[in-house]
Amino acid sequence: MDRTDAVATGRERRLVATFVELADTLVEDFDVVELLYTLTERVVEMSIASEAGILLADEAGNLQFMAASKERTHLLELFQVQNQEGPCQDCFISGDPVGVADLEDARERWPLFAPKALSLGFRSVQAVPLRLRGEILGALNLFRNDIGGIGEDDQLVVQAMGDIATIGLLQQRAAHRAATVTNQLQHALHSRISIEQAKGVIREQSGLSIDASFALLRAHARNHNHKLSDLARAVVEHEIDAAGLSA
Amino acid sequence: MRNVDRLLRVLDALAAAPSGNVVERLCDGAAKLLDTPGIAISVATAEDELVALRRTDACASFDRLQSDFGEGPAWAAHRSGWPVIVPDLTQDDTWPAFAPAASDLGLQSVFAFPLRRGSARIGALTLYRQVPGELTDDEHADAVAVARVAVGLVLDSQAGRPADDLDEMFHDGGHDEAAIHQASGMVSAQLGIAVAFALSVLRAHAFAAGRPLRDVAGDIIARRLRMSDPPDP
Repeated sequence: MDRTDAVATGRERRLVATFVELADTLVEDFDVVELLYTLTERVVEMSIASEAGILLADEAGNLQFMAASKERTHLLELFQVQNQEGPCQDCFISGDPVGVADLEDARERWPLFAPKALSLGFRSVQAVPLRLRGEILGALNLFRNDIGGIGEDDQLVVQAMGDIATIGLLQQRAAHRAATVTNQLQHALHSRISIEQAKGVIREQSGLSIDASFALLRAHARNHNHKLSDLARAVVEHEIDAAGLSA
Repeated sequence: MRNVDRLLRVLDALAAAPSGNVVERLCDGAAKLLDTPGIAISVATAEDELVALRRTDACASFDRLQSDFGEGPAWAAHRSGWPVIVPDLTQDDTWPAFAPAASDLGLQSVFAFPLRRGSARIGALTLYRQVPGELTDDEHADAVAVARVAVGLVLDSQAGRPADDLDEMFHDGGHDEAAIHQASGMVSAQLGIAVAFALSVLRAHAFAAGRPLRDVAGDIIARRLRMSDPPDP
């Protein structure tokens, strides 16, 4: 087997392992936001991307940030600006993948997004649509520190990960009767907002930065086997406070 | 239909409603849009009880039963954060007080949608029908869009801010930036109030100061600004 084959097989193995891991998750009672975080982390591990993020359209058609391979405020702002312009916006509207091999060439196309991305060290970008029966739910966004974008092989893998994200979004268990697509997406969006609210509560109670507050929340959820969104709700509803959280 | 088009249809229906304040016109517009004469919007008090903000005439008697008994689909939707869908009230035994009383008055199906932003639980939108049957997917999605508009209107009215600008209602979506929700979490902890009220406090401050909400939120997060106790209601 030559080196190319070995690399391809190694990647295939990791891809299969990721699919199995995610399939396991979908069978149990899982947290959709945590799933989306895991997906973005796997995408970065398995492709040439440096960072990745997922955006979901809300009931007003605005693209809302859901999860990223790193929870840093500057990176999150790069996703948030895409509510107005950027590869995810273009991808969401067209329904097609959008890629730019050199962001230096995109300053005119995206006068808010491109300079911001460049200032964070990113040189190329790719967005793939999250699709459900012809409807576009949002986008999976990849950033690379080099020019060139995402190669063809990676594009297929990345689109597959996007499809898994869509399945995950629609698999949330509901104890209630109304688990339609609309409600599943609403629940994911509200879970995300809960997490932002919880970050603020923790910051006020502990003095930690917003990013550190999130790290504490996520670590506590993992270490104590709580669902991330449930823990966020409990923090916001004052059932547990920052002093009760441990990494 | 794209979500944004749905939202625009709701705002069109609101604009086309003949008279009343903006919440009344939302209810009347929603009644037409959803082909459901009975529309009610209720809001949560500081004690987390629901009080009616507006009921169309067609459902006043049904909605009053939810208030009287302190139970019903609106309460369930508000508390759980999930829509409560009851296509045939006679087949549902969840509410031993509300259901029989409402059935006796002619209610046959009822659909309640939470008004919320994350864990900020604001109230509920309830659709009442005197015929049994499911909502179509379109009606369901339209109801969610109506709930979305209702959230903005309720928050603005709690913030003491007149909401009559349709453009502003449409762009209320910009008010879902992470910083705003982080700031409302901080204010909720600062003042010891529910995060739904903290969100209103922030909006009131931004409106009174003539500043964009996201700038106020940024100042809160950076600790350049703290909210003092809210004025007495």
